[in-house]
Amino acid sequence: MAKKLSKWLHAVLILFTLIALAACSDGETSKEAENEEEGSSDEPITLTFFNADGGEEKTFDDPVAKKITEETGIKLEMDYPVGGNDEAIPLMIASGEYPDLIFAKGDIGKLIEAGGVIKLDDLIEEKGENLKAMYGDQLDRLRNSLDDPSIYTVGTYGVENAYWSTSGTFQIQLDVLRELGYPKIRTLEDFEAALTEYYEKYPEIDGQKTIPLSLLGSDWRWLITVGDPAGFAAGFAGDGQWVVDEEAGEATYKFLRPELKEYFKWLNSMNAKGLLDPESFTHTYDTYISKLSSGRVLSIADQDWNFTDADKALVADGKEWRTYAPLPVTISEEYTSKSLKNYGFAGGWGIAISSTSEYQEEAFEFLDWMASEEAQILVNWGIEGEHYDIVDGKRVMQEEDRERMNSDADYSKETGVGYYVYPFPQWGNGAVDSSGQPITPNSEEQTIANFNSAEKEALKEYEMENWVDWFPQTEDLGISKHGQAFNYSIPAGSELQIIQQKADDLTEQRITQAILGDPANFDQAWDDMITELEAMNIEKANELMSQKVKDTMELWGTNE
Amino acid sequence: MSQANNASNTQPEAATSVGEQIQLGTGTGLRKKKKPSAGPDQKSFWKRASKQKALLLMSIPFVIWLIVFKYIPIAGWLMAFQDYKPQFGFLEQDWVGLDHFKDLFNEPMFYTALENTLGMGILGLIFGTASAIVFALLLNELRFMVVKKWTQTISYLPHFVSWVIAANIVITMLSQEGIINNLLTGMGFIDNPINFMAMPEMFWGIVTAADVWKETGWNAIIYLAAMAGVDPQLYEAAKVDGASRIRQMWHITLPSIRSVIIVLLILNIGNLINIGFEKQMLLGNNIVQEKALVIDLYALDYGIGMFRYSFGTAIGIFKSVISVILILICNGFAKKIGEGRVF
Amino acid sequence: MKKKWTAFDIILTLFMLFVVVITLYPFLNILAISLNDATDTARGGIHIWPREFTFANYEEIFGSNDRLLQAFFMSILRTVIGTVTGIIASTMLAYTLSRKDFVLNGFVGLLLVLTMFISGGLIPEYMLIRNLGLINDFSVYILPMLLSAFNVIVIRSFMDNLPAALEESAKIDGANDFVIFSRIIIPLCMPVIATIALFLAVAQWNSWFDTYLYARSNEALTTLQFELMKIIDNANISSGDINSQNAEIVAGQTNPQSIKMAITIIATVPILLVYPFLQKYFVTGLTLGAVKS
Repeated sequence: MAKKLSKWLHAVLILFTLIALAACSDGETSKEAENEEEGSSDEPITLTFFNADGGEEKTFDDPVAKKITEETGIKLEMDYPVGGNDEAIPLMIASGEYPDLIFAKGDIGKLIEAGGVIKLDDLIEEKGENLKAMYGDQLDRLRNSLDDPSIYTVGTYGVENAYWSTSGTFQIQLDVLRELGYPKIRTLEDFEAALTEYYEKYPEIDGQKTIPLSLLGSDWRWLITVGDPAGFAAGFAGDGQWVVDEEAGEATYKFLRPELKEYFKWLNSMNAKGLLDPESFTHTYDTYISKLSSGRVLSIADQDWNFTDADKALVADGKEWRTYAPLPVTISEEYTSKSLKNYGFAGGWGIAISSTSEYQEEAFEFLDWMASEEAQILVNWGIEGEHYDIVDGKRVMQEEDRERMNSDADYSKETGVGYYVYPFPQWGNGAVDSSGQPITPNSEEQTIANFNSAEKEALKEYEMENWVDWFPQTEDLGISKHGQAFNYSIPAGSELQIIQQKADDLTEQRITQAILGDPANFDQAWDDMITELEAMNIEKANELMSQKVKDTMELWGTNE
Repeated sequence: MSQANNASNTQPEAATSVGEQIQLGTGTGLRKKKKPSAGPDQKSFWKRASKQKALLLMSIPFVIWLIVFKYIPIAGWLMAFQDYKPQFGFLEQDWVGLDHFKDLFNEPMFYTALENTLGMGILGLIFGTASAIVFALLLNELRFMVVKKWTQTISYLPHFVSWVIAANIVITMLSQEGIINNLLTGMGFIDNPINFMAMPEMFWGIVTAADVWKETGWNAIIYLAAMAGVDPQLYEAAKVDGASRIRQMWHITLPSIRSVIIVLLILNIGNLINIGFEKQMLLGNNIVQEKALVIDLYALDYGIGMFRYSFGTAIGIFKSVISVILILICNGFAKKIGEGRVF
Repeated sequence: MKKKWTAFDIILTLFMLFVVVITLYPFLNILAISLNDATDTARGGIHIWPREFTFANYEEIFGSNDRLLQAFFMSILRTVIGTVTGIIASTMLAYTLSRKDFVLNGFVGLLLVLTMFISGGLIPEYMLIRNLGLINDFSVYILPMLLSAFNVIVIRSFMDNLPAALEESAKIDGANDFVIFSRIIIPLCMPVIATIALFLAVAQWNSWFDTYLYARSNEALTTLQFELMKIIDNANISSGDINSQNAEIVAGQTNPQSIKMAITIIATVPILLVYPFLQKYFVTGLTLGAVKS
């Protein structure tokens, strides 16, 4: 038997080796062929592009990609980290083998330090017409740091954004609004009263226990559904774990602020009253989504992209009234929600060109071309006559394409429409082209047209067109001079990063315990947490972050 | 059966070995052959070596392999004494001495992580080993062949389920509307559902139980293989003596696989500190975090995750040192009492 | 063999049936979700039977990647070759270590066992593989995984248990170490070899990180696990990103649960089929029965 087995294995082995050899030699010949192609001058150049955001298996051969190649002579070969690991960039640096284009996100500082990417200043000066036109006076926001104010990257976020949708502080079920006669909900008190009233009326929905408020604090989403809404309710802008006072040039770790204590004390009382889902900090994402999908959760404190699956399931079930509306709730009337704040072009992250690339000039020309009006219309709308038509001088998405765009997750991947927008240089959804038309298809009209029937009816009752109408308006909130603090690239392994990580780990635990604890002990628990934060030298982090804010404003020229 | 014939053809003297094996089954029979005296002098070393050319030929290529693939990368340990930057070679770095170790030992979180790691490691070692052995023993006793075969095949399935999915299932089962709470309330043990995942004192237990559920079938495979080597004559003899099934397990099966158990136990003790972080991270939450933080997660969050390769390496060295000390102690102890060895 | 069933047998059988139920559940759960409509899955509550039956999730996976078949063959190839070479290497080394009179016994044993607990880390290992010229070469799947200290030690402890008389009598007959190893030791070690073969095969089959690190620019070397990993994990949100606008973009790429479960099924079922074939080596008494006759 053993002999037979080994003979059999032997045969299999030989067979497979032959197959492998065949496969390998195939691969080699095709590679050689490719290289030959690259040799002749009119054949497209292939640039390797590393996207740290991850991505999906994709070849550069959809209609939009083909058009890009036709216009620029560039093909992209896309590479990305697989399996959620962060090792790709350090390995690139250690081996000195870089792709042509690198989107490194927050790790760009390491590449700059290692000399892996080139300065773009001169190239922009010489031949960056489109980039200059796109960034205009915001070009300074691309600069690296006060010590080294060169530009290494372009792209990522849009220039000129408009705010046609928001998730607000909380989201409440439309049915609660309808049932209570479309009340005004502006403060935590209003919010709690509405939930209490509806909950007393309907302790059960479709035979299951009603959940007045559910959060998802069991994984990284703690920051989304617990940490962030606390700041929004206190009227702070979206600076992550920080509160920034631009006038004074001061940054404070958010959870040191008394307003935050007030918010969490309220959450603690909600828990004591049985209005908070007791599993808010233990259930998994899947369970959370299935609770929302069942229609028995009256309110959440989430971002719309985090619960799209639940939204889809509710609409598919004909439960439109169980979907959610964003609320501009703050702790009390004296605070204003900053949900629609304009942060300006965020800068920070972007695509860099590697120092080892053979095609630095070509790569830059490609990036510059991507910033042109022609390219922006192509990547946002696709090809005229194929994906959109011009009707009465306006671009209109073809019906089938519009439908697929909203419902088919693979649309963008298959056609390339919308696929090459982020993280390349891009205009925001508020920008218009030379003929005055919006450059992106995400117009306000489109947003409104996509509301479901229940949303439309509720909006009519409130005499509004869009949910953003009941939020303090963008124009009134002013433009941020420092961008957003969480978006700064903090040097890896620096004191600031370590203290912040420790403080985040601590606050997530202590605040969770305080919310679930006895209300009588809340103050004590909170004070203990502050003491622990101070012991971690949080003051030092505040100082470092304040300096970072001041430096940023100086670098950007927004400090006057 | 063809294998049996092949095997017997090549071993004409096999009959004598059975008697030997019976002694082996009863305990230390195997060890009665004494090791060659401990300290061979130089002459006899070369003399013996020259007689063992075949053995040398069979091991030297692998010694070279071990050195190339396992020991050369250890040069990376230098990082722990440097401020490592990947753009420079290992010898072109800034040297910082023991700074990273000082940082590590001054960090209160590190001690929390160490305590949790050892706590869950020991629980996992005890219950993981015991459940696998008991399961293998019971499976071995199963008479109904169909059930035996299927149980064996099915019990190892959860090993192939990733922790992401397995943790989800565990949390769902233990949730307030989950099956465990339904059973407990249904049978009247408790009035209100218990939020198990929100109880820090339960966390180690939950992780251990989940691990037992997921890995017992897989871990039992080694013991089953060892049991396949037990001579059936031993059982026949025991039956003649009227020994019960439980007694047979205790007096024949277990002693026969004792050396395998001890070797695995030693290796696992060496690995007490290398329990990974996946299950703790996925089952943990902010309420139980103080009981869930383990060294590997700490190393990821505060080391590699922050590009602090040097700090991460310092943690790695600390772990290696602990492991090596543990294994040297256990191996020495096992040798001393004459119960198997790892090397 | 026909004996009366005792209470012990009945209780034992019932207990084992219970074990079957609780260990089979996760797999049935995954299978059911993978065969359920992706949108409907979000509603939760699927246990062992799909609610809205569909093959769409599998179709989507196979439709989205035309390299799966080729990757599947590469996975089999590396599994077969890796297992065979691994078995040869580990049994050989284990045999030398089982010989207590072997001059290098203590040294090699220590050298081997330490590798279980020390590691140079990712960067030095990567540099080594690179300097050895193994990048984008099939051998990168085989060479670095050739030996595992754990496997060698397990095999050796099994060999320690073998009756020494066999070896000695063979020696008297003038057999050399190669002959003893291949003619006597190997056939006697079949149960443990089957076990280690399983371990090696599973490790080879499940491995994807080496493909990513060392072979991703050679398409011919892609493996099933790696291709599936690319689909399952095209959305990785690390804690550094969560506040930013790009979390929204990344979250948009997250694949529904049903797709992930279908991937799990595709990735694991082939390797699960190996075990039943190895099971016959685990029958009590087979080995020594052979010796006896």
